[in-house]
Amino acid sequence: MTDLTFASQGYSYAAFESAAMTRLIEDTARAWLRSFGLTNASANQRLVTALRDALAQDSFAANDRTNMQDLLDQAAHDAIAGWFEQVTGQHDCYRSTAFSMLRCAFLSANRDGIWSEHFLDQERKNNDLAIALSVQMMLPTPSLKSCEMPRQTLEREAS
Amino acid sequence: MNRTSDQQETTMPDGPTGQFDGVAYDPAVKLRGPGVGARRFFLFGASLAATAYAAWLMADVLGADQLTIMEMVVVTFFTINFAWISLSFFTGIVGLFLRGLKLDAITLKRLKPIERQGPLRSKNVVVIPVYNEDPNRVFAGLRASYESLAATGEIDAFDFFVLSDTRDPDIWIAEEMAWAKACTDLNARGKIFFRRRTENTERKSGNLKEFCETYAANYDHMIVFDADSVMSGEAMVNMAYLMENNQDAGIIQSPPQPTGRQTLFARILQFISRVHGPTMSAGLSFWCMGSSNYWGHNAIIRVKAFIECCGLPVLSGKPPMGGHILSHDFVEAAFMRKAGWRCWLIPQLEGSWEELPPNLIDFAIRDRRWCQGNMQHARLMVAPGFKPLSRLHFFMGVMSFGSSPLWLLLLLSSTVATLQNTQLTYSFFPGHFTMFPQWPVDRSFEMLVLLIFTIGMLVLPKIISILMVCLGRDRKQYGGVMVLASGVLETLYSALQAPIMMMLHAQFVFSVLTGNQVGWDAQERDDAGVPFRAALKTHRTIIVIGLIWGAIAIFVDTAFFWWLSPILAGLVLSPWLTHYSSSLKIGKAARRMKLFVTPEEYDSPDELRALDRITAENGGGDVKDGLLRLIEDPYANALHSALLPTRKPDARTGIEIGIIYEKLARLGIESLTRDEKLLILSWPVKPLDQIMAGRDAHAAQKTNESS
Repeated sequence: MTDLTFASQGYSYAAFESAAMTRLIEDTARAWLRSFGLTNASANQRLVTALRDALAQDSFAANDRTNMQDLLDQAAHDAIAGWFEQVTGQHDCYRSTAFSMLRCAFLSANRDGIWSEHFLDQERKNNDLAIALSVQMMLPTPSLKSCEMPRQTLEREAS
Repeated sequence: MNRTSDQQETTMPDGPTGQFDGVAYDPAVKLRGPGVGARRFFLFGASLAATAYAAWLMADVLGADQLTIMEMVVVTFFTINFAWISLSFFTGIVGLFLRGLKLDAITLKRLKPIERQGPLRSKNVVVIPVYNEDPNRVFAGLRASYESLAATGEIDAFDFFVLSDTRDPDIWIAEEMAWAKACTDLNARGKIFFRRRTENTERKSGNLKEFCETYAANYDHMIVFDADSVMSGEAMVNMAYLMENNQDAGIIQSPPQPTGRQTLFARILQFISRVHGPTMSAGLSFWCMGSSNYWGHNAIIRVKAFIECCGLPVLSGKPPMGGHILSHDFVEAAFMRKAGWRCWLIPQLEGSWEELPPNLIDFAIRDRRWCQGNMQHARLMVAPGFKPLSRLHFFMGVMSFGSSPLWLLLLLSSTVATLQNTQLTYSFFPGHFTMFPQWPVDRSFEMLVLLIFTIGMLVLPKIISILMVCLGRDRKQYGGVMVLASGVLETLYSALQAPIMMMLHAQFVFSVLTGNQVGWDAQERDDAGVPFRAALKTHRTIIVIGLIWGAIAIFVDTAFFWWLSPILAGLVLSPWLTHYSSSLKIGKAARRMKLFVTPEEYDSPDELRALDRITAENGGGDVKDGLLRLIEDPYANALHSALLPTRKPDARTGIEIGIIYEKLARLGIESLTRDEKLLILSWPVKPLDQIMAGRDAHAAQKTNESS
């Protein structure tokens, strides 16, 4: 019986979670929160829940720790990117560059911890946070405008 | 594209985006001047005449009693060297007249500041190619220039772009952090950009080429900085304004003033560049006109023209004479000219600065790099299609190093000729039968004339420049009357340094011609002193040569020894000269004595003050432990990830990265090599807990396998 079957039958995923799995989920959540400079308990809880939800909706080889870690990391990434998408109204928050830029912006905006409570909170209105993020957003390069720079030759005159 | 010549009025090529069509140009800043042909006729004519006279005088002096073969060799080398000196002399003389009469070198009208008739219409970018440079210095220069530009009210017409080719992992991360800090502090997000090249092919020219093929087309003009460049906002805006109003200009070069170093060596060079540099710039601009050269930085370039015609060819054959072109700037200017664009040197563009190497050894290291590039120009001199003046610039580039071995050959052949002459017994009845003896002819007066003539050509423009400053209103900015003492000491110092540079350059040229290549290292930009032992080690061959040469000269003829003594003194004293001139303490003491003072030191411009302030604020900003920083600091980690190109490692790279992470987890950062650090930095870096978790996972896996 797969986890999806359990979930479809009304059982919660947590009911079947092993202690090792609990630890792995919590470690993953903590690591991701730390990468956003957060230690907030409610943010932690929201991310843990998001990870459990993601696991409950997927099947995986339970004894393959490496795969499971990747799965959890992907789930955390998607949960946070989805929240960023909701906050900023942008649609490309999942791309690695955009996601990293948003992470930078959040870290800058949340230097004094005022947005920690908002993290992953889907219920809140985050207009102010969106403004704060837009102010802090870095732009490494302008728009690409490709062209070719032809090599000159020493054989004949330029035409 | 329209082909132009300096004598012709031409149709202007379109601006890159065509936005200038229909817009009136400001005639007051039109880069045109009368009598281009006459200027060059005068300059080259005078140089040739002086060279011919000197050659005749030399032949007369040496050949009083009939020229030997070795004496003919001496005359030949002397003539080539003299032609070089002569061109420089007349350039200086013209420059002195222009400075004295306060005339614009191009228009020959009274010099006046550029008065802009409105805001800039163009979009410009300041590009800073860097390679393993100190990020604190690079970004301090950028920030000082940015602040100055913002004060002009024209900041919207400019972006800044740091083009990193850095291969040092710690400097790479420090550059990223410095970029983010500059963006935040200056509120310049979307104005200051940063990109790092994954592969640094073709060095600096490849770096710019890659920029041109990706982002440059967003801009009309680019101002190229060196890692140590600073420019005033006024200078940058004026350069862009000149570009807008001279649509056939491909490059406008400002004359950068060396500044900012405190060692005695650097202060001497800064002083003489400040005193005499404007003279030479004015003279060069006078006869080069729209065929001036490009010096690689502190210049504005028309992006469209650069993209179209400055993709450098690869020279056939192997390096050092073949392969990628190293000294790209001359070649880019030549290609611009070939395609009909004009290149201008504008001597009155002030507010353009650069830094010098702090000591003679670093100066020589830089020259070794430049030498390889300039010697490649010998091949370009004869390539088809270039304008005659571009060929002359190539020749001048070659001669800036080639003149040293020629000078050395002149001195050596003089020694041999003197030795031969001492072995000969004088014949009063040579060859044919005659009733009367042939008396020896005394040519000591002609010899003295030749000596004074040659030395005069070498130093007269410089001495007049010094006198002009001394008699001018702004002499206080150069140390008041001490400017004379500075001038005398500089002349002495340069006389002693010249033979050292002659030997070093001769060695570099020989090294290049025998196929030795040079690496690519960042220039030393600290006021680093040279310990005496290091100086002795570097110059030991020169000292030995000097001593042997001196002994031979005494053996040959005592008078000849005294004739050679300034050269020999420079060679034998080289370690002391290098060591003491590199001293920061002596440099500062000279400053207190008002020696070698420049206007930038006397009353520092806002930009240089800002540079000092920013450097002090970020003093010693950490460029160590870049990887550790990424592992521990979430912000640095996120920033680094964001600046990496979007891609995924292939399977092999993935495994390699995994192995390095395991090594990192088990043995620590110190165990990683530079290449290993570079590899893991090329992909998003795992934070500490993930790295340690990876170790735990592997440990657990191994335990399971063993059980």
